[in-house]
Amino acid sequence: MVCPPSMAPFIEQEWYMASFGDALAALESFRTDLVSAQTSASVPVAEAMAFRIGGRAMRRSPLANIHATGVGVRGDSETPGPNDFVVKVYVFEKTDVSAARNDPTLKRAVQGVDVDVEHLPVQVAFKPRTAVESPPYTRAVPAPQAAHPAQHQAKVRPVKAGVEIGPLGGDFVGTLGCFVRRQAHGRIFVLSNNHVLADVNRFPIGKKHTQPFSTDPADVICALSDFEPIHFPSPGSQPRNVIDAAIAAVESSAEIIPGQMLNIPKYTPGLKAPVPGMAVTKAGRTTGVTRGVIRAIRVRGVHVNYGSSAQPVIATFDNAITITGVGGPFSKPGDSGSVILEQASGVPVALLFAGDATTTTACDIAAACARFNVHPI
Amino acid sequence: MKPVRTHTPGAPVDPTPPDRLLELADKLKDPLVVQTGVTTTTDGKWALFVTVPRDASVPIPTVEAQAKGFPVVYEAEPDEPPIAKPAYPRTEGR
Repeated sequence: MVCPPSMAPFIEQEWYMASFGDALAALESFRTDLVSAQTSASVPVAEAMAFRIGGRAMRRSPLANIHATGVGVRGDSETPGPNDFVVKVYVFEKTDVSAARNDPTLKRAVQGVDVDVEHLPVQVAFKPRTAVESPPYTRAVPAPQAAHPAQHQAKVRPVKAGVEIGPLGGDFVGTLGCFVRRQAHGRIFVLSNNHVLADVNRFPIGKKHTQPFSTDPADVICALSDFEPIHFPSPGSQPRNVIDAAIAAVESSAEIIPGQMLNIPKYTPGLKAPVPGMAVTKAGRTTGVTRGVIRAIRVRGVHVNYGSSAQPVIATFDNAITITGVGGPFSKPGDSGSVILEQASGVPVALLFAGDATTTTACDIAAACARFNVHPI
Repeated sequence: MKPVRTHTPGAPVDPTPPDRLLELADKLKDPLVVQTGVTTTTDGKWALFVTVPRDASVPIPTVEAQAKGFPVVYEAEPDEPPIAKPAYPRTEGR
């Protein structure tokens, strides 16, 4: 969100707190009214789906274009006073500000607190970033082994974790995270992301996947069995996600080798809680074996783009884990689905699903295993 | 002071984060805060993790007040949201 230029000096004054509290209290009531107004608006079911910023669905109603609310200083106040806190409403497009300001729901004050509409795009100009330096406490760790990305993109038999996987005859690939099992001697599944095995909710159950990327049915190793849907905002709904995960049933257990991850000698199937500062590693299709450090856990409000920079499709995640690469990026596109391991023990701590040049974003692998009632093997 | 671009946490002094900190991370509300979470300071103390706009002035008094004595690590919001994206082998020449 944007910090009004006048806000920084103002928030240092003690009398700021009371007025801020009033606005915060009004915000809760406002959000309830807003959701009610958005829901009662006529929205065709077909458009109450994943949205694209700037798309037709976003322009139907001023209320439909609201993507965030909060508390802030009145936009036209140059020297804010104690009564200048308002409920803030943010819209994606500048052109939608005036229409929103005239909407009856946004024109009236809430519990004596005014409502202020502002333009706030989610996307800002991209600037290339350089890889971060190794954190001091990881400098004693030996340099990473050769990443071997080509090995992770080749055909591997028997199939191990950490290798390329893609839909039969499709045009994209991700990473086979690890093998999981439902009961002690039950069926074996592949664990990866929804956006790898289910193509973001699009594939039907039973969709076959090959190792590696292939159009040859002889390379099929598994078929989509279950996935956790990824929920996107729609008018009146701002859903939160926790995992991007799916499982695919292994077709022939004779073709796989559980308990092994390509180029990770110490892989130890199990589950462990991620902790900030933990040195981690992963084996992925694009970058092979890389190392990193967990930066934060239980991160709420992470906006993840399932589209492109030009046409973003945003989903919000809670309980995410952020990771910084050591000596270079921890991941790149195609590493999605990799299982992230504690470097010291080789035990899984997270499931990789998104990233940029600096940061990799992962979800809770324990939550994913609980969702499908499976455990790593 | 501006928020850091990439925070470097230290190995935690205590193995598990305090329950009160987890609760704070789930409930913190502030108009300048984009994300909340849990991290450690460079010397390993459990801390509240928040991302804020890169041009925000930190520390933010309202966030510090809600943190109830826990250290707060301010990180700059990324330029773009992270992308959840597979790779496309045909564009790589395969």
